[in-house]
Amino acid sequence: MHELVIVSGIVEAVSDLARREGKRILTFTVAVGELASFDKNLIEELLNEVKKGSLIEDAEARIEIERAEVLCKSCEAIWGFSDLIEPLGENEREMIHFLPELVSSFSKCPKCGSRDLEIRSGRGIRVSYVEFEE
Amino acid sequence: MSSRNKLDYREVLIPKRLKAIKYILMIASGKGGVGKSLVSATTALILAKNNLNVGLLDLDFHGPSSSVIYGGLKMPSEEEEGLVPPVVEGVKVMSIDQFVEGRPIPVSGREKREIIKELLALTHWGDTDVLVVDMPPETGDVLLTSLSYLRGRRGAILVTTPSKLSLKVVDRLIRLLSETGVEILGIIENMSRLELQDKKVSPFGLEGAKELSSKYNIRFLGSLPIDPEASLYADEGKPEKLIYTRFGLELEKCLKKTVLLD
Ligand SMILES: Nc1ncnc2c1ncn2[C@@H]1O[C@H](COP(=O)(O)OP(=O)(O)O)[C@@H](O)[C@H]1O
Ligand SMILES: [Mg+2]
Ligand SMILES: [Zn+2]
Repeated sequence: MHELVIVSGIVEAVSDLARREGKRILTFTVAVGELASFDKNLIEELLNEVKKGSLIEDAEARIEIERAEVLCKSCEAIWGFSDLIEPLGENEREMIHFLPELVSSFSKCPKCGSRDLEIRSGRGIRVSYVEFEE
Repeated sequence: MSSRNKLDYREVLIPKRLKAIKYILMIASGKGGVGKSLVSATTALILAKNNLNVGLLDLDFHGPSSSVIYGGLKMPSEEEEGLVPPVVEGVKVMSIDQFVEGRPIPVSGREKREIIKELLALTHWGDTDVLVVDMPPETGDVLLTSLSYLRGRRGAILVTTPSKLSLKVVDRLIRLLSETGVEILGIIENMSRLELQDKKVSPFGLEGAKELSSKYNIRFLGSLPIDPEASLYADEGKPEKLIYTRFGLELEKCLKKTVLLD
């Protein structure tokens, strides 16, 4: 389960930030991109589990879904999850789950057929916000 | 290069992954088509045969071929530690091709950099003596990103053909690497001659790579013949045979001149 690895990395990165800043962190928000089809509940569970015993044990972890926005650089149409990912088979979605940038290997622009796709948002998992204690 | 996002989990994970690796051997050529991937894949096999614990990371977006050379790779397995690469002939192999299975990878520079970071962060190599990296075939920012993440004890072997174009690109690559402080273990000249019965034909001359080596005071490790047998075994995915071809045996001699096998 590579979600556990990612979550461990996130908890460590946020803890490092708290240490560097010398401040307590009250909340932090993790944006989960749609493209990679992560299970939001799983990420939340893992975050709460992994942060136990860490420097940010008491910080509240919030999860938000980041909408996928993929630009076709040929015709300038913008596509979302239901256009590019939903039509794919389980196996293909699994590959994009690991490496979201591979969307252009598996999907084309539904309008013009181009693979010149650029991910504008919603690729993977990132920390989008950190709130420190004053 | 863009500044590092300290909250990016990959920035935390990559150094930890690489800590388990004693030496990172980067195989670079600056351009494609010179045999960089064949040299990388065969080098990994040779090192493994010499009882080293070896990984091969294929970052050659333009033609990820380690999957073909290794006879078709299974997907890495998803374990608690991350993605665990399949092992072929004693080599742990990770390639973008395992994910796309021969499909094109039409991605921009920024996307390539994301993929490289993700692969480095997620792959669980475990204790490894040498990680051979088939470097991106270019001299631009994707190469620089790879260099900036592949930290630790590291060195590069440069592959060129005798052609003027290849030599020129490697010349540029040498200057780039010296700016980034990467040690160059040596230069290998690939496809240097054709051996027909008793006759050796060197269509491009023999001195180019040697001259380049002495210009920069870099070790010339040797030259590899055009070897139809090696090319056949690569296409057929017979790694166990590759190391015993003329190409493989000559390559082993080159590697014996480096810290990797002495
Ligand atoms: N010394 C050689 N003799 C015969 N074929 C070779 C030799 N070196 C490389 N090749 C073949 O040439 C082609 C290009 O080599 P490859 O390693 O994919 O190049 P690169 O990675 O630099 O683009 C492949 O089919 C490979 O098997
Ligand atoms: Mg190649
Ligand atoms: Zn389009």
